[in-house]
Amino acid sequence: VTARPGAASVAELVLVAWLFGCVLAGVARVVTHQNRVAALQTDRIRLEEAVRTGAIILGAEVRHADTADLRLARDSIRLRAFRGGGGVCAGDGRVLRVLYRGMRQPDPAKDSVLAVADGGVVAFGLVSATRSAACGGALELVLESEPEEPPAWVLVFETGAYVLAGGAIRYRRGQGGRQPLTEALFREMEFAPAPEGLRLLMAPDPDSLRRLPGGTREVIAPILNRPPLQ
Amino acid sequence: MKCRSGFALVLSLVLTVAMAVLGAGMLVVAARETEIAAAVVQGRRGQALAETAVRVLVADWSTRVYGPLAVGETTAVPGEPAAGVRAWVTRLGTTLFLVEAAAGAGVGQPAAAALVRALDAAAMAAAVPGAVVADSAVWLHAGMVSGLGSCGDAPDAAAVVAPLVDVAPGAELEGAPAVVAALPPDFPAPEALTEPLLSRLATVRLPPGELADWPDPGTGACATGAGVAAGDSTGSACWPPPFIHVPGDLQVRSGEGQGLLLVAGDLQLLGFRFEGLVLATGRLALDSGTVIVGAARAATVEVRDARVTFDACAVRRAFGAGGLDGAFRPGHRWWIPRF
Repeated sequence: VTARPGAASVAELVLVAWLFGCVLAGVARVVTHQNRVAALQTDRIRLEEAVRTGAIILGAEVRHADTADLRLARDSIRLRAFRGGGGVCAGDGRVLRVLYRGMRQPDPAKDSVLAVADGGVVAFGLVSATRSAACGGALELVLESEPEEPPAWVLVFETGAYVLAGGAIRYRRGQGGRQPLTEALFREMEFAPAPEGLRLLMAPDPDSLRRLPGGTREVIAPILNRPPLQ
Repeated sequence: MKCRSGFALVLSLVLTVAMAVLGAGMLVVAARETEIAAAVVQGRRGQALAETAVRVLVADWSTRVYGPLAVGETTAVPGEPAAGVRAWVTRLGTTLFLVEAAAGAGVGQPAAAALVRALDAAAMAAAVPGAVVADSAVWLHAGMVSGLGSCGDAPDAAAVVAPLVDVAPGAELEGAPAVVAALPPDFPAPEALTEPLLSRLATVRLPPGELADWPDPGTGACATGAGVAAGDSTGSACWPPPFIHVPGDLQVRSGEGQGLLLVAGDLQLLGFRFEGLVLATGRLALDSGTVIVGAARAATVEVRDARVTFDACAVRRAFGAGGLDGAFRPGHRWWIPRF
């Protein structure tokens, strides 16, 4: 048998096939591993994002809370959630003109007002909130009743509750529905008092985060006004 | 040269590009997570800085600096209470102030705000409307009480203010008017200014009991001639004057003192000279040539052989004594959110 010039021998073909198989197997292993790493990273990001969201939102909401603002239970916190405030530049009885700054405009349907004066802090219902020309565009807030002492500063708040249910942190305003703030990734969650303020314990759900090992996450939300939480 | 066709190079290039894309994707996600974490850390650091600046400002508070602010007026705090932080103080009411600090400039920067209360010396002095003031009764057996002691914008006062005033024939009274038979006003003090806090703020703490001679309160370091109002001519007085607190009954038999003397109990002064304000929660007895320049207030006051001369500036100065010059945390809410 005479070989054609330039043709490969069987041995060469076997060697090439074997090498090609090795390369493909390596590539397949790399791709598989890459997938696993990517999935792990995705799970980690989902979890960290949920933990971070809880820490940031709860931390901001309870940081300036006072004894009268908070009711703590194992699976919920009911609180005055501050949405804005400002100095009173002019006032007449129930009508206050406020240089308002906040995360949103006051909404009489769901907001109330804490009025700060020399004599102390008093809560009032809010009847209306409209723009006015006073004090260079102050907000005109009409309270349900006339404060005994003209307030110098007001804080606008809504009453809400942060609830741990269905594996997620949820916010519920008044008696309204529960809006999830995080992905439902947790098997167990619990609020507890801490020396600095509030502790939130979150145990990841192994069904939701199968690829991610790890224990319970703890978030500490300091309370500057240090209410004696029960 | 022969042409040899193959696909190994192309395949390896394709695989390399695919791997690079996958790796780059993961790197981008990881980098974004790092950026988010860094932003969170930076925000927390800014928040801590702003809160530290507020705490520093409150700790360094002096009513002599912020007391002159008008209600509604804002003043920037000179310098930086913490590195890279601006701070300012707004007077919200007679005793209420808002302390704010922001890390960096512009809206959205980490910021902190706290409500603090401070004694208003003028308002506090208004709760001492006479040379001798009592919540229930004053017995003036002998001696002299004068309410003529105007100073700056503070006018002359009554000699005696109490619901019940009994003046013996030998006693002398002068004032504008001499006697006001009425309940004196309460002190407009913050609710947080409790007995334990007062004890802590005092610069001199004396044990209850009997003192044969008034001890040197150690005021050599204080500045002299620092009046608190126009017309305050008491050049020998020091600033800040001592705040002397006694947590029980006290009897002093001789000596000289100045400042604010607060006795949580009965007080008997014999042959003692005091410049400032004497306060006792129980009975105050002035005897044996005791002289008070300023004012005295107690539940009941008995003047036997003493001279009390009202001095509006000495009274006002006394409310700047020791730690009373500082800021107090309100009873409940202190920190407030800032948007």
